[in-house]
Amino acid sequence: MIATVSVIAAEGPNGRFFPGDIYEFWWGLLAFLVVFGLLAWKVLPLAKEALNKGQADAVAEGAAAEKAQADAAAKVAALKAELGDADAVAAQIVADAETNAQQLRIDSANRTQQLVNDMWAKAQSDSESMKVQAQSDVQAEVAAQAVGAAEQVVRSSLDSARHGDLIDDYISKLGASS
Amino acid sequence: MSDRVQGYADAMLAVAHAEGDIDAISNELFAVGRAVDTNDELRSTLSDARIPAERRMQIMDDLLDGRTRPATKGLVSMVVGAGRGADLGKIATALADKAATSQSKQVATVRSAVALSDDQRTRLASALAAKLGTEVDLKVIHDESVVGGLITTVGDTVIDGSVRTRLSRLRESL
Repeated sequence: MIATVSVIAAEGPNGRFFPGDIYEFWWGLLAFLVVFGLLAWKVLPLAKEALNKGQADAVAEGAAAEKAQADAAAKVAALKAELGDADAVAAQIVADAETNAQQLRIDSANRTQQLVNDMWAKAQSDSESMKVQAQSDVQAEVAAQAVGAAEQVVRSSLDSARHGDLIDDYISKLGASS
Repeated sequence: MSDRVQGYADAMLAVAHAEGDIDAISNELFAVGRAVDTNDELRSTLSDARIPAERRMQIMDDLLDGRTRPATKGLVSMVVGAGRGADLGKIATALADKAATSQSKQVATVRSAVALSDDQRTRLASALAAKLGTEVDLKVIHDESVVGGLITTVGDTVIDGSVRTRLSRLRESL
């Protein structure tokens, strides 16, 4: 068509629409058909094949893209789910930790209070024991001092006459008891 | 007491009986035994096997020379020479018991801080005889720890009239 138009355009104007020489028209038409046939025979299949291939590639790429999009969406969903689980787990861990910390604080406070109570009770018991022991020690010391003083007085007063009196008294009581 | 102690006591009693002075020999042996019991150095010397028996016997001879009857000194030398000097106190006590029993008496051990006069001994022996219903053979031991008064032991019976015991009771009561 282009060739025909080119041929017609190359001819000078003759006042008609067709060229002045009709054979030029036919030759031109023949050339056009030849060229067109060649194009239809060789080029068009290639072009069609190329178009089909491109279309197939485009379809395939589209499918791949859709698949990739679907995969990406799935991954995003999985990640979101994981993130959601992780958040829940983290929240549970934090909650557990807070519970444990609270329990530990309570236990520690209870133990400390118990320790203080025990120490106070022991201190009172020790104090009472020490008081009793001190009283006992003082009594024993007073007794020892008193007896020691009495013994010294007795020993210093025991002359031979007093010894004799003690022995005579012993013999008298022995005789009286028989 | 062991058979050995009883055996020595029997032998000594036989000697004292043969000498005809059981009470005196028994009293002297009792005094010697008491001296050995209360003197650690003397007791260890008499029981020291490294010291020859003759030397140990000589020591006792020197100690008793002029203070006891020859029979008493001979009996002590016999025991010491046999290496039983440390048991002299037990043997003398056993002898005193046997001697008293042979005379139908009981041994009364009297502890006193001072020596007893003959009159006190007599009255004490009479009082004990009246109380126990049997004659007693007094063995007086000088013991300063008694402080005052007397402690008499007859068999398992103890009659305590000492100042030491009174002071102990006072200490306990306080």
